This record gives sequence, C-alpha cells and structure tokens, in this order.
Amino acid sequence: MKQIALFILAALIGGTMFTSCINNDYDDPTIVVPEFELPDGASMITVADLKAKYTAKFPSTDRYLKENQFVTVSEDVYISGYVISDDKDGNFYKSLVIQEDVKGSKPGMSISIGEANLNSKFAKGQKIFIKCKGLVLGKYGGEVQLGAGKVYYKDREWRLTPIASPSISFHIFNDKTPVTIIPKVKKISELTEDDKFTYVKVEGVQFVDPNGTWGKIGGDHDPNFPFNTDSKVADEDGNELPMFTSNYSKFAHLELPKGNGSIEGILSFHNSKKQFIVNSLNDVKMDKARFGTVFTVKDNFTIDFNDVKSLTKVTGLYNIKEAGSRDWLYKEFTDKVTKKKSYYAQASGYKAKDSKLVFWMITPAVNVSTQKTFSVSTAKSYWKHKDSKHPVEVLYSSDFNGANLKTATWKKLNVKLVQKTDRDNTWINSGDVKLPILAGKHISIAFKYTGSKDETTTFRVDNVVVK
Amino acid sequence: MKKIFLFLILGVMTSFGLYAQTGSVSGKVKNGELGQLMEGVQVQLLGTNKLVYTNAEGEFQISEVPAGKHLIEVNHDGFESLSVAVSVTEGKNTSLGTLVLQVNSLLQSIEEIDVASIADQEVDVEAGDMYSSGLLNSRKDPFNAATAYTFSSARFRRKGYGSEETGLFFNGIPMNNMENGRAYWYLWGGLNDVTRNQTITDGLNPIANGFGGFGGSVNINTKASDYRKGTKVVYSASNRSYRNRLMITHSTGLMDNGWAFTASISKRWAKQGYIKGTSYDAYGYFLSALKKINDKHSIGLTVFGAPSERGGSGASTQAAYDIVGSNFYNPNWGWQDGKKRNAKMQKTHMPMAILKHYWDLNSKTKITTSVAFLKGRSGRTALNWIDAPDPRPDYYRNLPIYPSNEYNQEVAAHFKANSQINWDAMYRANQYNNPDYTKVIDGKTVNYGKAARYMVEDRRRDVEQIVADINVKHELNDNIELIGGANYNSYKARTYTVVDDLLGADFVWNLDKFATRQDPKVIYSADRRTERAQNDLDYFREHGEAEKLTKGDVYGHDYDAHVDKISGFAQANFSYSKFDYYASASVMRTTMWRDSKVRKGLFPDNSKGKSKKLNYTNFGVKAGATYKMDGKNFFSANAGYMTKAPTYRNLYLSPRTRHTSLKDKGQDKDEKIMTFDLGYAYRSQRLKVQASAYVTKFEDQTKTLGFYHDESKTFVNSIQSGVDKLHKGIELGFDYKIIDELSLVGAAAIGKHTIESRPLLTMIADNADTYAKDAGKVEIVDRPVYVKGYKETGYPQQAYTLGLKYSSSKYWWAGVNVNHFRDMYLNYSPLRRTVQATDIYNDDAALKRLVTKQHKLDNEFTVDFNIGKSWRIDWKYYINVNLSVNNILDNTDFVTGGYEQSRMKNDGKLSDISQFPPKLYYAYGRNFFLNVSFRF
Repeated sequence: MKQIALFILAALIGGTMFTSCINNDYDDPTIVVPEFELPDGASMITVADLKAKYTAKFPSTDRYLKENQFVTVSEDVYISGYVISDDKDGNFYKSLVIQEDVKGSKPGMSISIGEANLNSKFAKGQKIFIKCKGLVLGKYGGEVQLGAGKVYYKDREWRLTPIASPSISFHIFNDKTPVTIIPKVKKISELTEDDKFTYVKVEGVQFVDPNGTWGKIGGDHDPNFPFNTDSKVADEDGNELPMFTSNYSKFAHLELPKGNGSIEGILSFHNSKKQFIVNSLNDVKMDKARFGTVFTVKDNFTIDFNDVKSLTKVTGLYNIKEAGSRDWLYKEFTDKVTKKKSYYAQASGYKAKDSKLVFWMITPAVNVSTQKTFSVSTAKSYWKHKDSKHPVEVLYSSDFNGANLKTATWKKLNVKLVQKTDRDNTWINSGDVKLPILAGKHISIAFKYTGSKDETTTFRVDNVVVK
Repeated sequence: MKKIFLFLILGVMTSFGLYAQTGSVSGKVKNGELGQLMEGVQVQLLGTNKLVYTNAEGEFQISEVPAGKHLIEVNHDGFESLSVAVSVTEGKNTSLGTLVLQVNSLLQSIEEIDVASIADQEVDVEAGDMYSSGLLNSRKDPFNAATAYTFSSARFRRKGYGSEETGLFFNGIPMNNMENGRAYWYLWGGLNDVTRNQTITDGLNPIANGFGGFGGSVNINTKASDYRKGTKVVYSASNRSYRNRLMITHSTGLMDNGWAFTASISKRWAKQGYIKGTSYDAYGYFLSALKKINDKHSIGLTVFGAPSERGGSGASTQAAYDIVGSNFYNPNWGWQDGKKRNAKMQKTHMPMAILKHYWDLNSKTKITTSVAFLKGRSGRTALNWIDAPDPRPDYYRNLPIYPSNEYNQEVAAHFKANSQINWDAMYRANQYNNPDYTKVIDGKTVNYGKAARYMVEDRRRDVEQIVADINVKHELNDNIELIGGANYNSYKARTYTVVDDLLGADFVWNLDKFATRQDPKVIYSADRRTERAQNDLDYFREHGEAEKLTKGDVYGHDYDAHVDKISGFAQANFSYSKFDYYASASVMRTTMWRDSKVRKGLFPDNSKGKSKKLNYTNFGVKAGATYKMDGKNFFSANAGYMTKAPTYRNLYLSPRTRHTSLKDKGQDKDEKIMTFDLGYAYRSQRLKVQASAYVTKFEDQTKTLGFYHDESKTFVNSIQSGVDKLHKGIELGFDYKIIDELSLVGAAAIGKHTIESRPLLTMIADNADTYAKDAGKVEIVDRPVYVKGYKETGYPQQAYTLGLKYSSSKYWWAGVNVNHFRDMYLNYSPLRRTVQATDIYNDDAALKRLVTKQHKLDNEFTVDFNIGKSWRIDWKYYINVNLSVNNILDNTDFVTGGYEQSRMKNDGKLSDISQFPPKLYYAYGRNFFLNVSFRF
C-alpha cells in the first residue's frame, strides 16, 4: 500500500513538472519593411479625383458645413502620397499632410487622424496608401479633408472627425521606408493654389515683426484658439506670407529669428488665405542680415514719414509692441489749402481691448561724440489719459542694438510735447533739445506710448530731426 | 441509542434533585494524537443548560451542578466525541482527571477541504478596490459558516467594513499592511494546509494577541507541534484564477527528542485563468520547527514565502464589453511570439521569518516573545509611452461612444479587431523613424542607440519590516484572566519604478513626460524649462543631460516610505457561570516619513531626502458582556471606540513627486470609529441561530485616489477629507437539522451604510506646484462633495443565502445554496458631485440628475453547489474528493462593482458624461473547484 501511495505521489509530482511550465519569455518580433500591394478589385485614384468627389457634390464655399455636407467614399479606391508633415515638435497635431509625388508637383491634402505623435508611424517622407472606402470627405477652412465621421461643433457647424485610432491599421498602409523630401524652392509671389499642401522652401525672407515668440504664450495664449496667426514673413519686395504656429508646439516659447534667410514648411490654405506651417525649427535658417530696418548709425537725420508705402505700420523705424495689440501707424493728412498730402506717425489706443498697451517707435542711432540737437512736432486728439499722465515718453539709449529693447538702458529725454490742455489736431514743435555728448558712442531715440483700453489718447509725431 | 438511553435515565434522576444542593465538575482535555492540552473544547452537562469551553491549559470547570449522577459530553471539531459519566457530591468538586480526545481522521479530513482561499482571490495585491471580501470561515458561527464561500464572489463585506478593520495576525504578529492598514493574505498564498490552524474572533470580541480590529481578528498559528503527524498531498483543479494546485505537507509531530517539524511546498499554475491573458505561476514554501527545551521553554521558528507571478485583468466599460462580446474582456494582453503577453504582470515574493519563545513561567503565567523579519519585493508591470500614441486598446477615444466617433460606422468593428495590445506595433515604433542618439565625447562619437517610445516598467514596492512582540497572559484566578502586550513594528518600503523591457529600444531618457508638456499659459526661462522635466535633477546638473536608462535602472521616483509603530494593549477577561465580560484598551504611536533618493525637477526644494517625521498617537477601548441565560440562549453586547492615524497612502498627497502631506493642509485628522452591537445566539442539538444588530460610526476618514486627469493632462491625486459614515444593520444566520443527515442553513445581512458628511475634495497634480484645475480652469481645492446620504459602494449592502446540506453517515455529502444580493452601488466620482462641475448642466435638469445621482447596480441571484466523499483505506490512508461549483446557472451579467471615471470633459455641448462611462467588474460565471487529497 505504501508503494502505491508513493507511486501516486511521484506520478503527481512528475505530471506537474511536465504540464506546468508557465513561460513568460517572448522573442522580439521581426520587423519587416512593409511593401504595399493593391488588393484585387481596388483601384488607385489621384488626390484631385478624391477631392472632386466632394467638390462635385458641394461646390459651395460656405464657411460652415451643414449636417448633410459630407461625402462617404463608397467605392474601393486608394490614394497614395508622401507624408510631408511632422508632428514631432507638436506644430502639427492629429493630422497628416501628404503630397502625391516626392517633388510636390500637384496639390496635396490633409488627413485628420485621431492620434497624436503620428511621426512614430508615418514619418515625413513615408509613402502611404490610403484605403478611402468607408472614410468621409468634408471641408475645413474651405479645403477638402479626409476623415471618418462628423460632429456638431460649438452649436455652430458640422465638422469632420478624425480616423479613430483602431481604424488606422485598416485604412493607412506604409510602403517601404521614408525617403527625403526635397522642397520646391519658391518666392512668395510664386506660391499658387498648385502648391497647396506641398512642401516648399521660400528664400530671402524675414519676419516682418521679429519681436516676440513663435507661439502666443503667457497672457496672449487663447485656449479656444491656441495658434499664432499674427506673425508673417516678407521678402524685400514687400510680399508677405502669414505663418501658422501652434501655441502647444515645442518651439512656441522661443523667440522668432531676427535675421533674413530661408524657411521650409507646408503651404496650407485657410478660407483661401495662405498659411505657412513649419515642422521644426531645423527647417528655419534666418541668420543673415535683415533688409529694411537695419541697425544703422548716422550723424544726423530727418524723418518726415512721407516715404510711406501703405497706411499700415510705420516701417523703416523700429516699431515694437511690448504689451497689447497696437503699433505706431502711418496716417495721412491733406492740406485744406494746397490739397497736398503729407504723412505722420500716430499712436492710439482708440477702441483697444488690451488692459495694457505699451509700444515703441525707435529712430536710427545717431553719433553723439559731438553736440547734437533733437526736435520733433507732436499733436494730439481725444485725450483720455487720466490725472497728469502723459501717453508718450521720449527716451534715449546708448546700448540699444535693434534687438534688445528690454535689456537696453533707457533714459528720459526732456522734450516739450503736446499736452492735454493744447488744442486738438494742432502741431506743437519741441524746439531744439540738446542731446548728451558721449565720446565714441551713439544713441537711439524712442517714443514710448503707454496706455490701456481706458487710456487711449491719440498721439501724433512728425518731423523728427537730429542735427 | 446508548446515549439517548443514558440521557433519559439521567434526566429522570436530575429532576428529582431539583432542589438539591450542588457541586462542581472539573477536568482537563488532551489531544490523543499530539498529547498537548486542548483549548476551546466544548464540555456539556447533558440534560442541562450547562456548557463550558476549556481554557488555554485545557482545563474546564462546571459549577452549580446538582448533586447526583450526570453524563458529560466532550465535543471538538475533528475529534470523536466522548461521553463520561460522573457522580457529583454536594459542595465538592469532582475531578475527571485528563480526558483524552481521539482524532476522527476521516471527519477531520472532510473538514480540511477548502473550496477557495482568500489568497487565491486577491486578484491584485495593491489595488485595494479589487480586494476580496476577506470573509472568514469559522464553523462555530452559523453566519460565517453559511456565508464564507457563498458571499465572497459578490465582494460582500461584513458590516460594510473594509479589510482594514480586520486584525490579521500570523503567530501573534500583526500583519495588516503598514501603508494602508489592509489585511492581505497573499504572503502565504498556496500554503493552505499549514495555515489552516486559525483562531477567528468575531467583531469586537477579545483576542489574545492584541487589541485587534473592530471587524474581528484572525490569528494563524503555525507552531510546529500543533500539526498532526503525517503526510498529505493535495491536488486541485479549477477554472478560477488558476487551473491547477499541488500541495505537499509533512509533519513529524512532537518527537521524543523534543523537536517538531512541519514542511510544506505548493505550486499553483495556469496558462490562463478564467479571464483571458491571466497566467498564474505561484509557489509556496514553508518550514516550521519547534524545540521543546523543557516544560517551561520552547522555541519555534517559522519561515515561509510565496513567490508568484500573475497576469492582471482590468475593468473596462460596458461599451467595450458589448463590442468584444464578453463581460470578461481583458484589455491587458496582446499576442507576441505566438503567446498571450500580459502588460500587467504582478510579481511578488515576500519571505518572512518568525522566531518565537514560549515561556510558561508557571501554571498561571505565560510569556510569549517574538521577533519577525520580512523582506521582499512586489511589483506590477505596466506600459509606458513617451511621445507616442496611447497603446491601450480600450482608450476611450477608440470606442464608438466617443462623440467624435458617433457617426463613424466602422469604429466598432475596428475596435473589436484591435481590442488587444499590439506588441509588434510598439517594437516597430521603437525602431521606426527613431534616429540613434549620438554624442561626441573626447573627440569620439559615441552611439547610444535608440531612445524608447514604448517600454514596460515595473512599479516596485520592496519591503523591509522588523517586528518585535511580547505577550503576557496571567490567570489571576479561576474567573479572571489578564493579558497584556507590547509591539514594535518598523517598516520601510522602497517605492520606485524599474525599466523592465525596452521593447527593442536601447535606452529611455529619465524625463518626466508630463512635465515636458508645455503649458502655453506659463512662461519659464529656457533653463527652468529643461530642469522641470528632470526626474533626477541632481544627475542632470552634474551631467548636463538626463540619464539614459537601460533594463533594471530606476526610472522616475525612488523613495522609501517609512512607517514605525509602537503599541501596547491590556485586557481583562472575566468568566462566570452566567456572565462573561471583557475590557480592553490599547495605545499606539505612529511615525511616518518619506525619504527620496532623487530630486524631482518640478519640485527641487521639496522632493529629495527625508521629509519631516509625522507623529500620531492613537488609542482604542472596547468592552463587552455575554449573558449565558442557559446552555442554549446567549445574549451579548459590545461597544468600542478607537482613533486611527491617517494611513501613509492617504497622508502623502503625491508621494511619487514630493513631501507634501495632508499635514501641510491641516487636514491630517485622526479617524474616529465608534461601534456598538447586540447579539443573540441559540444553540441546541437541532438548531443553531445567531442574530445581531450593529451600528458603527466612522468620522474624519480620508480617501485618496490617483488617476489621469484630462483637463490637467497629468496624473492627479484626489483627496477627500472629512468623510463621515454610518453603518447600521442586522445579521442573521441559522443551521437547522431537519433530520440527522439534512440541514437547512441560511444567512441574511441587511445593512444601511451611508455617507453622512460632505467631504472636502482637493486634487493635486503630479506635475504642478498648484492644485489641479477643472474644465473652467479653476483650482480644485477644498470643494464640498455633495454625497451626504449616498450609499457606501463596492459591495452588496444586503445579501441572503439559503441552502441545504446533506451529510451521509457513509462519509459523503452534498450541498446547494441560493444566494441573493441587493443594494450594490458603483464607486462614485467625487468631482462630479461638486457645484463647479455640475454648473454647466444647470439648464438641463435631466442631464444634471444623470450626472449627479448615485449609480445603483442590479440585484442578482446565484446558485452554488458542492459534493464530496471521503474514503479510509486500511485505517492508514485517507482519500478525499470534493467538487464545488459556484454560480452554476452561469450568470455572467453580475456586476459586482466598478467605478465611475473621474474624467469629465466639457466641450460645448459634448459635455455629457456618456463618453466616460463607468468601468465595471463582473463576477465569474460558472466556475468550479475540484479537490483531491491523499493523507498517510
């Protein structure tokens, strides 16, 4: 009997050894380079064909879509293209932009995908095939986009919804490994609808207002529209290209480049207006000297503001926003008698919504090794500054270099300016003011306007002379 | 028949002596196999209501016995009953000497059957929400006996108490978790045969080891001399958490040389348990040795451990269950290398050693001194992802209920096809478009390879604990016993995360992925921006970049949680013929601190080194009485009051990142518990009834919960302080023998457990110095949570069972139970019950009601069945087979609990909560446990 017992015991233990091996070791999977093959019965169409499926049905360019203004692709068709967007630095978020060929010879399109960090699956330069059947076409900002459904947004409009994460592997297929996308080199004036959603490089450009950061950060950030669309680059001919940068991008907090050079990115359109989107700051090379407001040192100057090209921001002088939304602007004046037009610079907070307004206009530097004098004409209207506050201070700095507004040392220059009690629209001349003598140095003279939505006095400047 | 005859005769005789003078009977009871004296043996004077139990020295005394001849019956579980005739003389004590009880081996082997053990059901050793009810199986108590196996599948909690109200002791050493106070059984998982000797005490009743908990206490005794000599082999098959179990135990008994040894090994395993992807690979080892030096001194040593590795299951939403087509969908696994790989593996090994010295100073005084040491590791793996898409298949945006998918016809099918983890995709993402990191050092380019986008991390808690304990028991006289003790408990848990598998990548940056996210609202200097992202700021300052970690390196936080406790208790037990009383008091000093090895970039001044030590002094008192009206009717009343220090887990607001505690907010209040209960028990040959009513008030509890917060885009801890609760209810249990073989058993627990206060909610983010903000960008701090009147959640407040038990004299038995569960509620999200969160629904009363009302779960029925038989061969070998099948009707729609997601997103009209439906747990469908044991 004891033997039987021991036998049963041995059998049990032996059985355990054989059957109970729990193996939690796993071999790494082999990673193969995918090669796409078009399934039987499916056919390729162009991006233009795909967009036409939408535009043929809904040619209208209404700003907001209605519930029925979506097209579900029902045919088994595929498009292909090369990814040109890169969301690694967060300037693209949950969207892929593709162009049909490596060169970008035809317009591309944007695809809405419900996943972030798409660069870990669809890198820039990756050729992808998209199975369109079952996907939905809609329009955003006037452009046809590919997505997967719709949603009623903010009680206002129907919007396309993204291809949800579990659907990605059913609709988007990689083909081989990513290739290098060489950008088309263009001038701003050469960019057309044909370049829409393609990868482009523009050369010889600089930020019109290089003060500030790529995104809107701090108080300027608006969670409901977290983008900076105020910056633009321009070329020497005055052609401008607006930039579009997410406040959540990894470079949103970095200062815009001050120089001139080239910038690569994706030309997008929003309601027929161009928007340029960069993937990464590696694609921005603006380290050459700027044209226009170059930091120059003169022996004397006269600024009469009559070199105006358009009645917008004053150019040629440093025109810098420190707080708020306002700039020094060109304004026109027609002499009642001679009917001759002349121009001046104006600072005003009229209708501003900013709680704080500070903006500067700074002259070219002037050599002050010898005694120089300064004079200016000023006028005002709609005085709104309270108490004894004056909207404008005249300051000078001997260490301002064109890019260091905040760190430069500014001292007050005692200049007679127009006062609250003076008549509106009447020019007051300061008379000659002696500038300090600083051996071997030069100074820049600044008009600093300070106000708010409640203190909006309009202040005008003309005939700034140093002699 | 002989018994009945004697009984009749004696009955007649005693009736004549109705007015006669009385005497007393005394004696001792001894274990016939092991030779030691037996405690708790029932001694009854037949034909009268006199029933006593032996004390720790095996002694009993029955007083006020009418003079004359009587029959005394001695009964104890697992032993043959013994009847002794006695002749009592007026005014004198008659000693029966030492009565020897013989083991009924067959009966005992029947009683050793365990259907399932608590440790098996401890699904997740750390996630307290999933902790099983911890119902105790005490045969003495008909309520416990009826509910131990039938209610646990519904996560029933006796009186609505959490396991932190149960005092768990191992050889007299307190074993409740030092960080959260809960009672866990996994340390000795699989060692069922050697941990069966348990002293279970109900409610407030006094225990010998300490003050205990208000929800009762268990002491597991592993003194080597207490085990029966012999060898036992058990094989079990099941379809629950494991498929197979093998246990082998051998005991020498107390040998002539004064030594006794017991050893046990076990293995439990399953490639897959009831839930897909849950592998189970667990072992147990145990050795207990005792040396009896002389009659006064014995020394015992117990060493045990239960290494285990298991795949975790996870709760998901009903929407996901419906699409996948199973309420047991487990999103935690995916295919790799042709096998199901689980991302949430729990690996635990916490060996413990206990050295005890038993000193019988004299026949009245016993001193037990113990030293215990526990050192081990526990870890749970999890996926981590850095600048890569969320790999969890049931991520809420992947489901059709996400608003953006509402008109998307394909999502459901695509989710179903992609409802498991895609390991291959993670390996691919770690290689794809991921250039090697290179650096020029001393003119040479060093290539570090690829930084991981995905990895598996192991969230570790490595414990070192030392306990010293002394316990003194003194019998003042026959009626009064005094017990006192002191305990020192020092606990350190290194809490950290280790890189477990880089999934084909070469290293991972030791950066805080949440801190690297930009908040455009806040402007930092470039240097501060980089520093904030550092998990180890000191390393960064020394090396100029974050550390590149490989497998086995520590990632992120690394701190020691320290908890030291010094406690003492004193207790007096009074025992008289009609009344028993007790009174007990305890005092405890708790010291807690945090000691971090790393300086967190986000909190450079409040993260590294030792935090301030936080001290709390608490006390408890309890007293109770039992009135033994006659041998059949017992009335009892108990009352208790105690204070508890905040637990470590609740005290530190964000222990992963910094020292900040509830103390800094002035909210580290002691919890107060007051309780009172009344009980009635009836015991006769045919009928056992137990009924009780209780009321317990909890004041100033703190509840913390960590989760990912959508608005803050980071992990937050939500802290509710000032939670007051009131638990009222009645319990009823009975066992009625219809005929000798057939019993009707039943139990009912009817509770009303409500929240009585408006707790204050604070949410603190792991990645910000400030409090977390809600959708309206307002800080969530000290917000009243409108939950007054809410029911307690996570278990049925009403549970009923009714069953039939058949026990044949041929040693086979069968039973069936019908169970019913009511008043179950989902765990509620506190944020949803604040004014600020619900303001946006003010124009939609129906939606507001939907958002704020408490979610009640359906009532449920289950049916359980068991059957078994024992054989005795040659008087030497015992074989025992039993099978139990729970939920035999296969009710797979039984939601036992779950929780509302704390996420709420407000996005114009998309603000309703339907995109964040609750996550639900389901009770297993039909499941079985087959046990075969062989003893020789």
